[in-house]
Order: sequence, then C-alpha cells, then structure tokens
Amino acid sequence: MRLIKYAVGSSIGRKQVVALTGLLLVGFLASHLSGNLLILFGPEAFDSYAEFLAAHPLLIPAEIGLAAVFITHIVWGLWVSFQNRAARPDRYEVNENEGGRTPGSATMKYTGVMTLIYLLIHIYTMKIQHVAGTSLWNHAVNWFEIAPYTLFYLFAMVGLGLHLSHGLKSAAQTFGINHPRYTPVIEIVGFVLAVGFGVGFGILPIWSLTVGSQL
Amino acid sequence: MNLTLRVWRQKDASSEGQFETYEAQDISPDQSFLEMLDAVNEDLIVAGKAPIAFDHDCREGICGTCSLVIDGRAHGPDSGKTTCSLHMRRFSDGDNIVIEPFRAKAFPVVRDLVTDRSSFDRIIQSGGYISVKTGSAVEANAMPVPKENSDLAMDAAACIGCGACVAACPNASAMLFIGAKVSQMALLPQGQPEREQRVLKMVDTHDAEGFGNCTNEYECMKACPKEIDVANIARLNREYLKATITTRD
Repeated sequence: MRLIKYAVGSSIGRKQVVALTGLLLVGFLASHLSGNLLILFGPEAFDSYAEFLAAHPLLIPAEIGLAAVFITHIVWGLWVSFQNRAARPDRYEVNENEGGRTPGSATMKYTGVMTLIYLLIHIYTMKIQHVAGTSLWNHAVNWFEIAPYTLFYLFAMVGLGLHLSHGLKSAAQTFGINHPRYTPVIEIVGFVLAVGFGVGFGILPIWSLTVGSQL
Repeated sequence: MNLTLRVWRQKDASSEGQFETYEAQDISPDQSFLEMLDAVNEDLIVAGKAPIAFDHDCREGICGTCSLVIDGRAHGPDSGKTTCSLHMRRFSDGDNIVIEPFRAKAFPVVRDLVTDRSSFDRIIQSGGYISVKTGSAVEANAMPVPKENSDLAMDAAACIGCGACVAACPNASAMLFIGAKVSQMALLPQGQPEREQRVLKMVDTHDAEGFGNCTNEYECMKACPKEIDVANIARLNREYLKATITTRD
C-alpha cells in the first residue's frame, strides 16, 4: 500500500519517479548519441550499426522498456506540473525572482514539452518513414537538408540541453544527495553533460550539411 | 520620503479582491516597513476608511507572523530578513511599491494582506513533535550528540514557520518548511523513536493541504528570512524514501 501511495499519491514519491526515469533516459541518450555519432564516420559505419540494431532480438523488448520509461517520465512530469499550477490559483501581480532560479529550472516544463514534440517528429521521420533495407544514413542526411526541420532540430537540442542542465542536479537533490563535497561536482558534471548532449546532437546536422552532403 | 503604494485589498475570503493605490506621505527612512503601513493606516482611519489588514506580532524578526510580498519578493527585497526588520531606508523617495499577500492555495486570504497559514500548524500537528515526557534535564554525557549534528539541527530549528518559502516557491511548495522540521528531529537522539512515522505523516499532510511539489529551484532558500538550507529538503527526501521502504504499514 505504502509503495503505491508513494509512487502515485505523494509529492516526494512522484518527484522521485520523475527523477529516476529522467536518469534512465540520460543513460539512453548517452547510448543513442554514441550510436548517432557514427554518422560522422560515413554511411558504411552508421548503416551497419543501424542494421545490427534492427536485427537484434532484444530490440523490441528494449523499445517497449524505453517507451514505458519515456511515458512514465512525461505523464508524471506533466502531472507534477499541473499540480504545481493548481497550488497557486491566484497569481502574483509582480513576479520577481529571489535568485534561486536558473534558465534551465525556470523553463523545465516548456523544454520538456518541446522535447516531447521533437520526439514524436523524430520517431515519425527516422523510424516510421524510413524504408527498411535502405540506407538510414542517406535518409537522415537528406532530412537535415530541409532547412525548417534542421532549424527545429537545433532549437530542440538547445531545449534538451537546458532541460538537462537542471534535470541532472535536480534528480540528485530529489534523491537526497546534497553534500558540500559532492554537490558542486554533481553541478559541474550535470552542466558538462547538458552542454555535451546539446552540442553532440547539434553537431550532426551541421556536419551533414557541410561535410556529409559532399560524400 | 513620499511613496506610492499599490496594496491588495480584499474584504474577506469569499470576496473578490483588487489593488488600491495609496500615497504614503512624510515617511521616515528609519521607520520599519510595518511602521510605514501603520502610518498609512492612521491616515485611512482619520479619513473614515478601513485600515489595511496585515499580520504582525513581535516586530523583531523572530516570531514568523509578518508576511507580505513586496515588489514580487517575499518579505521584501533583502535576503535573510523578515518584513518587520525591513526599513524604509531600503527604498527611495518617490518609489512605487506593490504589496501583495502570500499567494498559495494552502494559504487562503482572510482579509487584505492577512493569510490563513494554519495549514502549517496542521503539518506540525500531524508529526512535528516528540511524544515523550522529558522530565528534568539528563546528565550531559548520557546522550552524546556529535557537534556537527547539533549545529545542523540548530540551523534547521531556526525556521520560524513564516511561510516565505511557500510564497516564493514557483510551485507554492512547503518542502523547505517540512524539511527543516523533519531535520531538526531526525538529527537528534530525541527524534529517533518517531522518525519514520513523522516524515510519512508530515509529507502526507503537506500534500493533502494543497501545497505544490518541489522542483528544486531553490527560490525558498533565497527568500527564507532565516536562510534555511535546501540540504534540509534533500534530507527530507532521503528520510521519506527510507521510511517508505522500511515502514511495516
């Protein structure tokens, strides 16, 4: 009973569900980015990796697990967000920050929703639209040649970086990790990872448009 | 100095409120913010109007009764200070000042700038106490407390329960308040017997009162007149997770 109440009916439990799924998604992002960076090594390297994944027997269970983590993170995150809105029905006339907010923390729900919109477009363009047996490398590079798509992609990656700049350190605090020795390190690691993911994914279209399209 | 005030006026909890503009004339820079409001109220009474209702008691920054959001900041522009300790020299002649009540679903407005913060009392009643008869003081060495823990417990116990953390929180969450109240007892031997049940009950009551969820923006810590550290929220999160796993309920 307590565990159900914890995950569904308590503020701290719900936050810890968001934090845990968020950390799992960071793990997914790390593997996804390392795979995607193979784009820079040309069509053979990237396509053989894509075909290896597509043929892997554990792909479907992994995708189901990943979808469950994504959906939990999104549903619980939005739930917390709506509750927070309801906790202050009458807004302030003057909104002045006390000095604790960061660009990442203040935009968390917006960057989250933006990442969700990007995710849906991403699944459609790169998974549903891609014809099996054809080069995924060509497919991806062709998409990056469409300017509005690439601009939205870059915009979404800035949003993802902002989301992570607060998400990682916030997850640590949510699990009770706040220590004068470790917290500054966690903040630096969180910031570096946020910038790393933003730049790492952001480099793909830039490389595709400058170098990749010449190959 | 002369100031223009925009003050939230609301007849009672069920009435619609609105901002009214008042001129505060001949205010001394040495007056406190509440004394400035007293002066404005004297003029309002002489003019036959209802004075502005606001909470106040000790007027020396230790009781947690005064509140107010001044120009968008709980307890005014200075950190580590209650409204009663804020002086008019912090403002300049001719300033426009917007004065609002603490805003949260769990802190309904009673009248004007007065809010009902009894939700904090109900959180304390649900678990923020020690139910043992202490008797006379025990021999000092009978109950060893590490110096670091006693310092941290003392820092947490500095919370005066004013509610500025809720007022400043973008989510109207009271996590800094219960973080402090759970911490001060979790860190000391006297708090151990009820440690698990305390945190579970206090968080349950916090949620039932309609406070929001903490998103670690740390606005609370910056607004807190007693500068309670958000490490207390981390401790609360740890205590809650631990109690959830180990409780036999």
